[in-house]
Amino acid sequence: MTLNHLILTIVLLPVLGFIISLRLKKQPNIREGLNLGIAILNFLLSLVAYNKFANGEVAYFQIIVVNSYLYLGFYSEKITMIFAVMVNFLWIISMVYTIGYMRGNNEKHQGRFFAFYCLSIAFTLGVAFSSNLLTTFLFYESLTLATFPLVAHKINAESRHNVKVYLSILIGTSLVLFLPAIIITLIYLGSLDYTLGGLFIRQENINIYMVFLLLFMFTFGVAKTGIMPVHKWLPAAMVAPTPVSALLHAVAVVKSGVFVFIKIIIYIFGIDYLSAFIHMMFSVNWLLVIPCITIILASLVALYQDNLKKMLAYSTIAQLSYMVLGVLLLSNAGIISSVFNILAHAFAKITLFFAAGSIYVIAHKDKISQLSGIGRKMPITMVAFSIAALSMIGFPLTGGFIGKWFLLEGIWESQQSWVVFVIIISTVLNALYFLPVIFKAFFEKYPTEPNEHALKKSLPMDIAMTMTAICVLMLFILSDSFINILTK
Amino acid sequence: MHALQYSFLIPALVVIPILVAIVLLIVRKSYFSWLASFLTSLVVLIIASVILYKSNFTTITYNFGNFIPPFGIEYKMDTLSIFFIFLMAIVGFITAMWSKGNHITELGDRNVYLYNCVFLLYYAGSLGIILTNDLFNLFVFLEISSLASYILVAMGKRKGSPLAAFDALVIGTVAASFYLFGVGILYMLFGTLNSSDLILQITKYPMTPLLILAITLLSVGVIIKIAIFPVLWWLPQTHQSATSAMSAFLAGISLTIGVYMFIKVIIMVVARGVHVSLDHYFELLILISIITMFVGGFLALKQDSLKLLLAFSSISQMGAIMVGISLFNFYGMSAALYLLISHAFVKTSLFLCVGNLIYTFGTEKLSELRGFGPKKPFTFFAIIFFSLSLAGLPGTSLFWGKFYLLISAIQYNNWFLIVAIILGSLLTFSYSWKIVSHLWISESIVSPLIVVHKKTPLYMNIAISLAILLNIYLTFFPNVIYYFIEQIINLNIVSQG
Repeated sequence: MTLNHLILTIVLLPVLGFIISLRLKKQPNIREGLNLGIAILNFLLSLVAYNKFANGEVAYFQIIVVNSYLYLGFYSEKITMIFAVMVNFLWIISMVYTIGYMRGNNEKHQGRFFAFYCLSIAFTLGVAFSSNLLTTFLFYESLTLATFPLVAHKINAESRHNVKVYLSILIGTSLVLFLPAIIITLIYLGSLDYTLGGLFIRQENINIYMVFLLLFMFTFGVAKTGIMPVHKWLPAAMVAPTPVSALLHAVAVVKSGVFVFIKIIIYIFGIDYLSAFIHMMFSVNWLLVIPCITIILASLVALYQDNLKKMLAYSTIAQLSYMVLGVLLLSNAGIISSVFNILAHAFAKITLFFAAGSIYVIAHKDKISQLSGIGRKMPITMVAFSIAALSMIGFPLTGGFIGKWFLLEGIWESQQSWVVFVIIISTVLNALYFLPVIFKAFFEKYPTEPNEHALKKSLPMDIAMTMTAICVLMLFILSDSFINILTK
Repeated sequence: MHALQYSFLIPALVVIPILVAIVLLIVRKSYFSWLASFLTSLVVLIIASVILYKSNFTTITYNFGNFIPPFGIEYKMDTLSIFFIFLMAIVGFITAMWSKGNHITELGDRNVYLYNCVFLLYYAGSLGIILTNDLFNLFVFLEISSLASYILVAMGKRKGSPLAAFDALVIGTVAASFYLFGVGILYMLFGTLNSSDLILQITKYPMTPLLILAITLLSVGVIIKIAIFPVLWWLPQTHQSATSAMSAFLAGISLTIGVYMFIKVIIMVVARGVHVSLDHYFELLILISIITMFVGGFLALKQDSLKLLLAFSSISQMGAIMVGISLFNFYGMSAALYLLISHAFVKTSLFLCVGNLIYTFGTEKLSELRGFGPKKPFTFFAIIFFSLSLAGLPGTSLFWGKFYLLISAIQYNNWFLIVAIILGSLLTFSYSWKIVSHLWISESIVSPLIVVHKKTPLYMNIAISLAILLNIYLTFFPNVIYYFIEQIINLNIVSQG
């Protein structure tokens, strides 16, 4: 099997899971067993693919060809391969967790749910491997539609309204900003391929306003990065069952948004061109203002949330802007921090959502104010939660610390010292909204209610949470090798 | 241009359906009539393929009675005609196959032979419009197909059917007279009706008020046939009233024929011939096309009846297609042709699906059809698939059309136009999504559906499966259409670049 075949298989295997789940609506055991098998197989295949790639094999092939400049293609590249391995790994864990959650909660339409879960993974992998902007757009848009049935899973008035917000913002921005930006790029630069060093550097006499416009359109068109003011879809999507939130926040949707943004900045604009362009007007990198505003505002909003999932959603928005910030620093360390933050945030956020989900399923609580003493009743859950929360804050011994470290290094490298203050303020805010939860859970008393029922335990959910929490710690311990891979 | 020994196949395309129609009038058997119309459409498809294979994208002609044009009537088959013939042949084949089951519920056994007979006449007329190179002959075929379509609409069993047919008749006749007056003036000025000859004559002739009048009359006549704003109300009525098989066929063919006439008469003869710049003319056309796009889209969004929704969506799509043509450049024309062919296939298939729903449940209202999925999984899957195609989901054939339209708008460098097209595609997405969300997402509110017929006839499902396969094929091999379009634009319709 060459790398080409491997990549095609990795993208298509989840589609097989989709079909299986749709066909086997009535046999949950076989269905979920097969799904888990596919996830594990896909993860192994992606490891093999990574190994081949590391040994110098290169993949490139086209699938749908309209003409010489419009086609859909896949290729292999470093960030891509890392992203694919991460997605596949998280898919296994979230599958284990989802099985526990859906059964524990007795949700309806589980077949459909698993089907679209697989389909979302397929499209995320499509985003990962795509070799040009057109392919990326195709999978990016399909991902929105594939996650739609998941977000709309609970059919009631609230979900219908939120789902409308979710769909209209994501589809609206991509049709109004992202697609026209792609077409303008095609017309002015004659190509959509991701090219090392960027497309702009090859072209002379580019209209400055055009570059400015394209920057604007791409930044807000890829709304999956949760940049303000097009962030509203993320809190709206919180009506979905918790595994979906985990999928949205950690694995598929937001991560593919950041991933696409990184690709656009590095391979379409090109770092050298962009930094020359920015410093043409000011010595300050004014692009950084956009993520900085989002970081501060989102953290402030998170501070005032009582709904645990809403709070996590705003925390995600702030964290995503860290990654956007990292890329826009336009330095090597900045990009490393971005990619590393994708990993660190993925593991930490998925743990947080898993914990929030199990609290909801087992203790039926979803408000922060109700969490008093829950740590003593559900120790595994809350320990995992605490580890992940510390990683969010950037506490040493967790993955988040390394991410922040490289972010600061990137800031140092590009000499934008004012950003450091933003990072400090946001770290303080992070601590302010996460530490009270941990304190409440462990040190306050659990309220005894008259008709108290014993809390059940769910083994799959506990396994999943423990694994991701360990991964958060492993990211710190093994950070050396990760950084080595990235810098090489 | 040369007449080869197989050029007799060109008139055969028109003559065979007419002959079969006459035979049907004599025999008057239901099953036989269906079989005959089905086989005829198959024969048309085969002949079209043979001609394409033999001619290999060169232009071939046939002179009736060996009279040399410009005096005799000339039939001409260039790439543009082959493109449309193929479109018609495939749509006709699928609809004819499907219509067998449809007759039982919506027509009654007694009328089936009549339906098939008139259907073939309509088919022949439409094929004639595409094949003839003579402007007056085109008018004759236009009348044949229009009259046949009025009969077909009137055959529908609904309350408003005769009235809708009458409305369509009045408007259609007005349009045809406009066209005829325009052709009359051209004949008076140049003494010729052959379009190839006419181009040569017009190039030599200065712009006079009379010529302007002729162009205006021709355009108005053709534009009414495409259901462009403000004369668009006849279309939803006819779609609503006709039987489902007929709606499907009309959706694929009637508007497409209008667009063909516009390209053939206005773009290829007038715009290529006249001396003055037609910029203002095209700007006006772009404006009304954009209005059409929005009027159609917003009205589609409001409909509860699926047939009406699809009809208004056709109007909106025609607006987009006319924008592409009126931009009058390479990308605009490619976008228009791309949208035209993919829209024809998708819309026909959607109407067939609606026909299936009417057959099974006896209703086409979105509010009543909620949550029918588990009862009819195949139709359900098909309708979701085609709605997503209509929405222009990236990768589907309609997406490429929209993509090219945006490219041409950006090259045209008009911000108003770019914004309008983007908003138009958002609108398209919302009304297509309305179908999906009503039938699928809001399935918790299941209304009590009465199942009229439990089993759908095999032919209906085979036809829809064929349509699905066709759409999947076009999704994965868009270069087939693109190659065709490149060949068409090689005919020098618009300047390349």
